[in-house]
Amino acid sequence: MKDPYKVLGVSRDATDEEIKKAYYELARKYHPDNYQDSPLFDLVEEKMKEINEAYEQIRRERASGEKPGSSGSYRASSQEYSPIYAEIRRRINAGDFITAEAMLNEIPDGERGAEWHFLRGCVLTQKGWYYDAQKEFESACYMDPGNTEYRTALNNIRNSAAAYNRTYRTDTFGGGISVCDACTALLCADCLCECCGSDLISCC
Amino acid sequence: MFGYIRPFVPQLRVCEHECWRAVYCGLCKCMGRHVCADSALALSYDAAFLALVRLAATGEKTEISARRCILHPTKKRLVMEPNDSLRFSASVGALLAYHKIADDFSDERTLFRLLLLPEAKRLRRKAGLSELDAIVTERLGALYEAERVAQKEHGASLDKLAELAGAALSPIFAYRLEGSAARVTAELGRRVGRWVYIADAAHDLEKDFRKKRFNPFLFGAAQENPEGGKLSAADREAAIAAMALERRAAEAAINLIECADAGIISILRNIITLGMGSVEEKLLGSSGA
Repeated sequence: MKDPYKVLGVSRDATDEEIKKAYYELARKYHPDNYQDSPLFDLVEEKMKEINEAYEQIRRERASGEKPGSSGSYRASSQEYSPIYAEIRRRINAGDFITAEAMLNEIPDGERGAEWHFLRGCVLTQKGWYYDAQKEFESACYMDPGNTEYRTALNNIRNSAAAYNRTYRTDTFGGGISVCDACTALLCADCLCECCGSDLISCC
Repeated sequence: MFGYIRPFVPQLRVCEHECWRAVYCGLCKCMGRHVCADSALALSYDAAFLALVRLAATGEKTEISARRCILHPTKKRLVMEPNDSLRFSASVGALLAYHKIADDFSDERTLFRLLLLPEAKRLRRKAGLSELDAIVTERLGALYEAERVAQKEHGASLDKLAELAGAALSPIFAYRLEGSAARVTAELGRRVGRWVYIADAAHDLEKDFRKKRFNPFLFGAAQENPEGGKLSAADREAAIAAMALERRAAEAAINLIECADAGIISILRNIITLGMGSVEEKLLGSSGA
């Protein structure tokens, strides 16, 4: 199994912030969305999975104070914390968003995986904080690109907005002129012609 | 509010356009008479929008007559005669002008702004809404403080800041209304305030980047964007969707206003759906562009 630090291209002394930045850069670079029509799609998916697993492992090691490399298996954080997340989901489904948000906030930074971002996005959507909600869904999709639930949540927000805009979108009537504008323009043109010794409108 | 809240005129019916102009001109006259002579200089589309919302929520009887004014001496114009909604909106227009000038001055201390300050303070005093002003000042103070903290900590939640802006505007819309009218107008004010904050952040992005000033879009992922003063494609798409959904929520609030005058509701809907929509397009381009 590959060294997770090598996968992310960071040294073992890197700070959490540097690791996060490296992870986001790689996730952006290899995001499957950028390869939708490419024959290399399967390779990118494989690569993305490797990056995600490496990131999750480093975070897990650092959160628990484990020595790097002592863990032999990769497990997604969503599986690891599923009992808490299941409870948060239950609260969200019951409409108890305040408690759900408080529970999400209690989860320490190092343990916040794709599912955390997804659930926070759900809570923010309910609050009507659509921009931040999209950002959370985006993070969830970056961390777990294969998850259709996260992708659907992000698409739902975008599609609702697009549908709303389509309902009312109308062509702007820019460049139109009124009768007054037309008459004024004709009079000005006539004056200019008369100055040059000619005439545009003979009756005035 | 910064002049973004205006109707999309080509889609207004003739009678609606006349009503809109009558409210706008009526507000101008009302500012001159009710607040102070030069306060009409602070006239804005935003205050006219507020006047329409208040007219719809209070169901006040209105009277429109043809009058001349200094700006249009040759032709009489339709003007709404002063009423409570117009007087209140005139005072709020003066009050918001003060807050805008004071905020601009604290952003960048220029001589011109310094000279404007005493006049702005006079407008605030003449507005005479001390009770409401105290609430708005306190809430705007919370917003500016949150912006200062966000700048210091290099991290900002756009929605958190927008919520504070919405909270500052909300009591203005619901001022002295009761029951469902108060709830609906408060929600409308909140949504419009949030929308304006995002629109203003998008509008000022390049300028703020150049002048190294705070802008909620310039933190997080956008900070690392090598293009700096421009939104990344993902941020832009998220902003477009967020603003459209704010408008959808605002329209939902308008649908709940119980108003016998269908024309006023139709103008309000035009402003939210098309007017603000076209401002969005100008600021961010259309989705998928």
